Amino acid sequence: MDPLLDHAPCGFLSFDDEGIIVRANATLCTMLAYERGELIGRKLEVILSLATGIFYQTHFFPLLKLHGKAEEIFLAFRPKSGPDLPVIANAVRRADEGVSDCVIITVHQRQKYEQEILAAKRAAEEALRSNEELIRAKKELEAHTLTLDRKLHEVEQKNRDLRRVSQILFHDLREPLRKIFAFEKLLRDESDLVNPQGRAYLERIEAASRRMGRLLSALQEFASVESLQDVLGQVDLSASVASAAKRASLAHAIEISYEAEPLPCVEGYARRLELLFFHLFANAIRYRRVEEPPRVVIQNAIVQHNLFAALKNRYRYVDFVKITFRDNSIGFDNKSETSFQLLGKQSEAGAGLGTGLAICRKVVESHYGSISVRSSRGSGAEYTILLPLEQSRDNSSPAS
Amino acid sequence: MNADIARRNNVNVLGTSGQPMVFAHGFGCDQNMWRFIAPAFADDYRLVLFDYVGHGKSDLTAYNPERYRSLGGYAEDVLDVCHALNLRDVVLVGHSVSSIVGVLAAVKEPELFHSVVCVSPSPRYINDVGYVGGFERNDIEELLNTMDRNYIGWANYLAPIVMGAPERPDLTNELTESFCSTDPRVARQFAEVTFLSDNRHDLPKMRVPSLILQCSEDVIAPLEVGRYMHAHTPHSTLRIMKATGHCPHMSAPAETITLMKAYLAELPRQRT
Repeated sequence: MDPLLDHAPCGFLSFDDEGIIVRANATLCTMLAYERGELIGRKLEVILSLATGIFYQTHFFPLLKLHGKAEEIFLAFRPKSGPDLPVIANAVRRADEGVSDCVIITVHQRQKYEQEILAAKRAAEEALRSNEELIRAKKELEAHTLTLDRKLHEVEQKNRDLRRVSQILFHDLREPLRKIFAFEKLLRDESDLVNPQGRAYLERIEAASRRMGRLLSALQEFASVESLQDVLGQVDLSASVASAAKRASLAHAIEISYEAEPLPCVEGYARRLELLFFHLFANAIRYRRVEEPPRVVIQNAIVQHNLFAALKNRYRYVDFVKITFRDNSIGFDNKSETSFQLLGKQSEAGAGLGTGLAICRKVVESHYGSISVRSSRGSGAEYTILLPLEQSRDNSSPAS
Repeated sequence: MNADIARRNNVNVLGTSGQPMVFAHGFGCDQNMWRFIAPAFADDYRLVLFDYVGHGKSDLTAYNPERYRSLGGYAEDVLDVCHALNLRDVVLVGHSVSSIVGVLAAVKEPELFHSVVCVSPSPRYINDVGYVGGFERNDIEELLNTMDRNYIGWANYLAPIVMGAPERPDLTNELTESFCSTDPRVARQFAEVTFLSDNRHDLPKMRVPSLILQCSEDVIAPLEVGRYMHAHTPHSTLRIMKATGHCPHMSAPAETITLMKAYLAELPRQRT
């Protein structure tokens, strides 16, 4: 090495792309208290602090490799003994050889100034940021408070209306329906009052009335989810699934088999969650294929998911269980939105009245989760359910 | 393609057909870091490159500290890109922390992914009882400090790069903007999220096959970490590389390409 370079008032270092030291001048060796022979052929990491080692791999080397040079980089060198050396490095990579040359200057004095400046800068930034955040938070809060108040008011009003509508549906409407049935029967029994033509009309009146009765029952079932006596607690989903499968089998007098990996416990409402699986099993039975017995496969995984569902730009990633419930039913044309609508999916056979999936959605959403389905005619249905493992602490009851 | 996501994440697609291969850059850089290996896959795959929000030429105004406070937010970026392009059967290639981001994305929506290639991954950088991560907490504090020191005037520091080809200002401007530039605020939060997170419990949930490329000498992800990854990730394949360092896709692109091609050739093209 040129003696001028060897004893120049700065460290000089060459290393290859693998980070092997190929050259070091005398000044650098003195700085680091190493013999030259101890450095040549060794890894660069030997003379870098651990943090600088990371920075070298994530910033310094990519910069050299992609751009060919790096300037005014602050690093900490680790001498053979004694404290780390703060240095500034400039480096150029010679692409033909794949070797980088680096000039190193210690910055003891500057380091102190810089640290003070940095500390002051951080404090100023922090103050500015908290100030900005406070102002923004205050504005948001004011805006939200009014929105919240209006929404609460609306919800109260709607709830009142709904309660009244339910009352009319389940009690007041039943009475005229019963009367229609009674008089229809009386008329039919009086054979001399009606001719065959009239009898055919009567049969149609009866069929329409029965359908109305079934619709009323379906609505009642949907509305009754909210009045289930249920308390928030730890729910073992494996137990919910097992009991739901048994109940669905009993209700339809057809055994349904399923395989499921162990499911986690979630915080929730046990009876509602059982109802969720009950309806999924019931659908699998109701829409089973003729050629094979109904069967379900349930898989699950814990995933990170954003707890905020309605507000944009708000994020809180927490653990959710993602449950995949796949049946071998005849399937249906996938219109996820309408599938979960109340009375949205009316089967031609009239067996289901489209309350099952609406109830499922209601249950899942009351746990701040979501449900979707993928299906096509002839290939079964696959439901994906996301449920948070824990219900938010500041809500003592689900949104209902 | 969903134009919002394309702009937000500076999505670049090469090719119109073939199985998609999505590249997720690691901490400290942007999609440029893939330029030594991506071309080798251009004939067989549809290549998708992107920058995380806050990195490279992404839309900085879309950065939301609340979202990117956890690696889950970064996984959401990967999933957003896949959904925006309507991708299926994706080969996801992630470097360093993005390997773990890839694992999170593949655990959340396994149906989207064919396989995940993890280049120099680590599920946890800080040592723990019975676990060697390679670092103590104060090493990480020092790293954050080093980053702060190097971001004094980071923007100015980037400026001289323009000087590279003064006769082609169009080209050089592009370089300045795109060269591994990260907003210091974003870089710092990414460093914290990367080096302070612990994702060991996510590994056993993997159903998608994965390739772990472990360098033989890597200060950031030592050999023990690669072995740990392999032992705890179902359906994973471990390949110890001759290459050293943390960035084999830049320092040893040929070996990286060979190992990736060999691995992908053995997997069925479509997952069942």
